[in-house]
Amino acid sequence: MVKYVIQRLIAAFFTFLAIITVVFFVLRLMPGSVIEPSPRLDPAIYQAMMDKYHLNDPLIVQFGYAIRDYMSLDLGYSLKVNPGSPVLDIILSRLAVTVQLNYFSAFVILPFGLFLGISMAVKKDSLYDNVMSSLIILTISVPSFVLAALMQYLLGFKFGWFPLILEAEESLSWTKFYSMIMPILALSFGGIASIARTLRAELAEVLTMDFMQLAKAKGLSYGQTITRHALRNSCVPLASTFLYLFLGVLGSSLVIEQIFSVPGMSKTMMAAINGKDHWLTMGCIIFYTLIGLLMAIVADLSYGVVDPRIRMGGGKDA
Amino acid sequence: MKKSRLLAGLLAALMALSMLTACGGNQNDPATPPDPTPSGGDANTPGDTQTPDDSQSGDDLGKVVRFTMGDTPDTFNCQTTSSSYELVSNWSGKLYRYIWDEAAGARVLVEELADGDPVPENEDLRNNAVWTYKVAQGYTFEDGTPIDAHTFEYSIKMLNDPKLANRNTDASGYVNGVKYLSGECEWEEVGWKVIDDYTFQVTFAPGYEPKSLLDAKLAYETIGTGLVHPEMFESCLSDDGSQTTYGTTAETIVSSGPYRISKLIPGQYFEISKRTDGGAPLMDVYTTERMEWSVVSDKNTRIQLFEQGKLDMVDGNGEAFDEYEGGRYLYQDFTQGIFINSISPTAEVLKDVNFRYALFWGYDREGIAAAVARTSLPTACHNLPHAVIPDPNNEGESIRYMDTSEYKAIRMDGHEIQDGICYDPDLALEYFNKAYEANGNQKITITVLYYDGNGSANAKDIPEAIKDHYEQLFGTDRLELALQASPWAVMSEQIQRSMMEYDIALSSSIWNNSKEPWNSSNFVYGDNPYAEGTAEYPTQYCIITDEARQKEWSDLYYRCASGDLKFDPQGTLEATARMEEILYEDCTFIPTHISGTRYFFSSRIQPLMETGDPDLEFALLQCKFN
Amino acid sequence: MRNGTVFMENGQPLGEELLNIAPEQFEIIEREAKIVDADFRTESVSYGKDVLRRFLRDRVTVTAAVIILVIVAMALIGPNISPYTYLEQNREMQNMPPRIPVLENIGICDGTRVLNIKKSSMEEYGPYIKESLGETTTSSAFGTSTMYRVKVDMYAYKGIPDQYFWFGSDVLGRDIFARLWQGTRISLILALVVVAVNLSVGLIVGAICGYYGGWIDMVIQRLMDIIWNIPSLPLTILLIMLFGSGLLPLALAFCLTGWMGTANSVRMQFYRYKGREYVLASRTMGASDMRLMFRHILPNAIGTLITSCALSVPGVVFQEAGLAYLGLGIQAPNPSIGMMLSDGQKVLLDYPSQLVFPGVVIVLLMLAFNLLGNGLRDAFNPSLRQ
Repeated sequence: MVKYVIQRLIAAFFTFLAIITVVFFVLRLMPGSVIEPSPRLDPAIYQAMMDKYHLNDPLIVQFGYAIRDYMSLDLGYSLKVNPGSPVLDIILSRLAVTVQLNYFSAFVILPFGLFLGISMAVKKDSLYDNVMSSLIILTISVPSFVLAALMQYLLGFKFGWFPLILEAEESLSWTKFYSMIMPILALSFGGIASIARTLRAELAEVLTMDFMQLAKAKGLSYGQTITRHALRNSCVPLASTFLYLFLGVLGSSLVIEQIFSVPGMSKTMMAAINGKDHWLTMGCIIFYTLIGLLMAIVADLSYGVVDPRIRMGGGKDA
Repeated sequence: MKKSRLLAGLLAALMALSMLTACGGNQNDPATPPDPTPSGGDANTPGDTQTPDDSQSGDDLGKVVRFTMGDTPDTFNCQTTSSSYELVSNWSGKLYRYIWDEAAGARVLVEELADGDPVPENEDLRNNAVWTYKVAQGYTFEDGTPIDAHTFEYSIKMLNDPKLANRNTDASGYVNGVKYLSGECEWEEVGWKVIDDYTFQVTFAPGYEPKSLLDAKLAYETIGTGLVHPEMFESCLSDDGSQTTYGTTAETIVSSGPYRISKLIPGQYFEISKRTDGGAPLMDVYTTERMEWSVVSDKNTRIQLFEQGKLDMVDGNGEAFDEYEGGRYLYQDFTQGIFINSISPTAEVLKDVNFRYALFWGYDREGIAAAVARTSLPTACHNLPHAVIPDPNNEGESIRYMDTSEYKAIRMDGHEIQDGICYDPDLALEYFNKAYEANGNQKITITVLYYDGNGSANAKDIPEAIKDHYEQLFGTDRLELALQASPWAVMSEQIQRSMMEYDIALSSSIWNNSKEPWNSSNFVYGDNPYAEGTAEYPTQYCIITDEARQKEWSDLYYRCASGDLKFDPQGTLEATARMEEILYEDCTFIPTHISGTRYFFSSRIQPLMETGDPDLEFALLQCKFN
Repeated sequence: MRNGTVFMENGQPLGEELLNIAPEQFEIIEREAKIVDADFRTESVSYGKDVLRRFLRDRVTVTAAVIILVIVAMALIGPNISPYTYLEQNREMQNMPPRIPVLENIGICDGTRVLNIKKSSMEEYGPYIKESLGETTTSSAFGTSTMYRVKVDMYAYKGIPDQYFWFGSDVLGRDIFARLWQGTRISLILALVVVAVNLSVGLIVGAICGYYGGWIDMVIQRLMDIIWNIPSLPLTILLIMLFGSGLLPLALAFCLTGWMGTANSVRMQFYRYKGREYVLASRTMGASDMRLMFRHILPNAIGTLITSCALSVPGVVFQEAGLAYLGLGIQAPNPSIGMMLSDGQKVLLDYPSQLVFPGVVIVLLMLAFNLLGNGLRDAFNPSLRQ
C-alpha cells in the first residue's frame, strides 16, 4: 500500500513537471507583449521592466528562472492583475469564498442527488422515473449563464426573495449565507443531476443481479436489500463522483461568479490570462494541477476502501 | 458500514480543508485598517458625521455614493497601478490635482499638497530646465506622519528605483533619470534635489522641459508622483528590494490624499471614506463622505440593483431607457475608428488611396452609430475632437481646436470634412470604381480584425454592421470583408508598428491629448520623434503610405515636440492643422465614432455636470446630495 | 446393467427373446407421427436487430429521436424557408418582436411589445397602440414620473405592417428565425466534427493501449495523464488566443481532451475481452491482430461507444455556449446556438424573446439527445431492464 502510494506520488510529480513545462512554453509563445503598451507610460520603463522580469532572455533561460523559483516554493509576484501581490496570497484570498460556496452546494447536492438516484432506480421506468429524469435533464439543459440570470431576475428581482448579489462581508454571517443561496442553487443543479443519473444507472444494474434475488430469498425486506446490498455495490463508481464533487469544492464557475458578483478564482485566472500576467496564470494552473493530481490518487485509494475486492499495487498488503 | 465511515472521513477532510483555506483567506481579516483618529473634532468635516449603517433605505444613508466597478483596483500603490489613475489619486496625494470647478463648468488644476505655483529659475521659459516646487505645510498622512519635501524625495526615489522598475516611473523627465533607472548612477546625480524641508528643485531632461507653468504643474500631477508612506513602504520591501507589497492590501497603504481606504474585499467590494484626521488636503472640495463600489460585471444585474435602490448610478444604454428623464452622457476621450494597414501583404488594394477614400466616404457614421452604438457621439469624422490649445491671439487663454480657422480650412482631396458626418455614398462609389478598376476588376477581399471579449457589449455588432454596410454599398460581388475576432492582448500586438499584421483593424486611436493635439495624432507612424537613446515605444500605429507626406508629417511633429514651433502657438496650430490634413489626405485612419455611455442617477445625488468629463467622469466625490 | 444381466424397469430381468431381436424386426414408429421439437421457424434475430427492436419499443426514446430529426431537418431547411437570409441586415428594423402569421390572430407572437412610455411620447406611439394597460407611477430609481403602459404594434410603428420576422429580429435587424436554424446547423456541425474526431482518435488509441498493453500503453497513459490534468478552461482560452476564434480552433480545443474518455472505455473493453476463450480460440486459428481487435473484441464496446457519442453531442453544444458567453465562440457573423443565447442574455431585460427561442431549441436538443442516449444504453444492454 505504502509502496503503491509512493509510486503514484512519483509518477504524479513527473506529470506535474511535464504540465508546468508545457503550460510555461504555451504561455510564453502567446502573441502579445507582457508590458501592456500605453501612451501614459514613460518610454524608459519598457526596457527596465523587460530586464527586471528577464523577458529579453531566451525562453529556456526564463524557464530556468521560473523552475528555480518554483523549487524554492516561490510562486512569484503578480505583474498586472494585482501588481506587487504575492501570487500565493491572491490565490488564497480568492479561495475562501469559493470553498464556502462549493461546500454548501455539496450539502445540497448530496441528499438530493442520493434521494433522487435511489428513488429513480427503485421505480425505474415508472412515470415518476421518467418525469424526474426529464426534470433533471431540463435543469442541466439550460446553460448556466441563462439559468443564473433567470434565477436572479425572477427570485431576486421580481419576487425579491433573495439579494441579487453576494453580500459584501468578509466573514461568513447569516446575511452573507442568505445572499449565497442563489449561487449555491445555481451551482447545485449540475451536481445533483450527475449524482442522480450515475446512481440510478449503477443501482438499476445492481438490482437486476442474482444476489439481489438471494437477498430477497433470505427474507430481507426490500429496504434492507437496497441499503445493505444494492447501494454497497453501486458505491464504487459513485465514490469517484463524490470525490470529484469534493475536488469541485475548489473549482469555481466563471459564469456564476460573473452574474452573482462572487470574487472567485476563475475571474482572477481569466484576468491573468487576458492581461498576460504569466506569473499569476502559472500560479493558478499549478494550484489546480496539484489538487487534480492528488485528488486522482486519493480517488484510486478510496476504491479500495469502498470495495475491498479492488486491491492496490499487486494486492498483497491492501 | 464502511461507506458511512468513508463519508465521515471525507467530510472531516473537507472541514479541515475549508478551515485551512478560510484561515488563508483571513489574512485580510485581522482587524479593519486602524482608524487613525476617531471622527469628530475636525474643522473640515461637515456636522453630520456618517455612522456606519447597513440599512438599505435610501434616506438615512447620508453622504454616501454607491456605484459599481468592473474589478477592485489592481493595487493601491500609485507607482505600480495600471487601472484608474483618477481613483488612485484619492489616497495618493500629489502636488497638483484636477478637480471639477462647477462655476467654470470645467476641470481645473488646483494645489493639493503644493504651496503655490512652481517657480522657474529664469523668467524666460524657453530655456529653463530648472524649477522649484514648494510643499504646503501642515498636511499629514492618515496616521499623522507629516508631509514635507523629504517625503516627496523618498517617493520619487522609490518611483524610479532601478530594482523596483515601477510601471509609472517618470525617470525620462529628469536629468540622469534614465541612467538611475537602469542602475548606472546614484540618486544624488539625478536632477532632483531637496532645498529645504518644504522645497525641492527639479532639473528636467532635454526634451522634457516644461513649456509653460501648466506643464510644470502637470509634471507633478501624474499618478506616479503620488506620495508613498516611507515607513510602511520600507516594511513592505522584499529582502532584495526588488518587490514591494505596499498598497496590495488595505492594511499596507497609508493615505496622503483626501480619502482613505475603509474597506476592501478583493474582487468584490471596495469603499473609501473621507479622512477625518485633519491633515488631509482638499477637504472643502470633496463633499462625499463615503463612496462604495460593488464589483458587478453583468449589465442586467446593475440595472436590477439600481431599480432596487441599491446603487446611485447606473449605465443604461438600451432603448428601453430612452423614456426615462435624467440620463447624462459620458464620452471617452479617444476616437474609435478603422485602422488601415496600407502595407499589408495580404491586401494590395489598401495601397490605393482611392480605395481608402471610398471606405472613408462610404461609412454611414450616423446610421451605424444609431443602430449599434446608440449612446456614442455620432459626429465623429474628426481625429481630434476634444483638443483645446493655447489661443495664438490671446496669451494665457485657450481655444477649442475645432473652432479655429486653420482647422476649418482642412480639405480632404478637395472635399470639406467639417460637417462632421462625411457620408457621401455617391462619392464613395466613384472612388471605389476607380480603385476597383485599378485592381483589375477583381473581387476585393479584406480581413477585418476586431477586439471581442467578455464585457464589451457591442464589440461584435459594430464590425458586423460595417461588413454588411460596405458590402451592400459597393456590391457583394466586388467586395468582401472577412471578420476575425481577436483577444485584446493579441490584437494590440498585431497592430503595433513592429508587426503590422492586419489588413483593417477596428480599434481606438490614441487618447486625445487636449494640450498637444499634434501629439494626439502620433498613432501614425512617422520616424521616431524622440531623441536618440530613448526606447522606441510600442503603441498603436498606422503608416502614412506616401513617403513625401510621411516625411512632412514627421518633420512637423518633431518641430512641435521639441523644435522651433514648441513655443509658437500660431505655428503649432498651423502645423497641427497641416498634420491633420496629411492624415485625411493619406487616410489610413478612418474615424467612426466616439464611444459614450448614458448614466442615470438616483434621486439622492446630484452630479455637478450635465456631460461627464472623460477623466473625472461625473466627479461623484464632489456631488451634491438631496 | 448389473453383472451382464439387463433388467427391466420393474426390476425383472429381461427375457432372452427380447435381447436377441433381429434388426429387420425393428420398425420406426415415429415416421408418421408429428415431430414436436422442430427447428424454430421464426427469422433469426441478430444483435443489431434486437437492439433496434428494443429501441423502437421505448416510446420516450423514439420521441427523442423524432425531436432530433425535426431539429436536424430545421437546421437543414430552416435558414432557407425564412423570407430573410441569416446575414441580411436591416438596421431600421432592429429588435423587432416575434410575429407569426397564424398565431398573431390569437394574440401570440403578434408583433406587439409592451412599453413603458412617458406622456410626451404618447403622440408618437398614439396610432399604433393596440391596448392601453393603464398608467403607472413608477417610483423606481429612474425617477417618479408617470409612465403609461401600452401595448404597441411595433411593425405598424416602424411602418412595415406587411413584414414578418417570425421569431423577431436582433440588434442589427437580422431575422432570428433564420439565424437560429443556421446557428443550430453550425453548432451541430461542430458537435459532429468533435464527436467524430474524438471517436476515431479515442478508438485507435484505446485499442492500441488495451490490446498491446506494455510500454506503449504506459507511455500513452502518461501522456494522457498530462493532458488530462491541465486545467481545461485556461487551456481552451490559450488555444483560442493562439489560433484565433473560429470553428476549427474551437473543434481543436474540444478535441484536445475529448478523445480520452472514449480511449479509456475502449481500453477497458479490450483489457476485459482480450483474454477471453473465444479470442484465444480465434488467435489459435491464426486470426491477425487487426481481425482480433476489430472483429472480435471491438463489437463488445459498440453499445457503450454509440451511447457516449449520443450523450456527448449536447455536451459540445453546451460547451460552445459557455465559451460564446466569454466571447470565445464561433467567429461572427456566423451564429451558433451558444452565441444567440449569450446575445439574448445580454438583452434579457429589454427583449426577452431573443433569449426564449434559442433557449427552447437548446433545451429540446439537450433533452432529446440525453433521452436518446439513455434509450440507446438500455437498448444495447438489456440486462439493465427489469
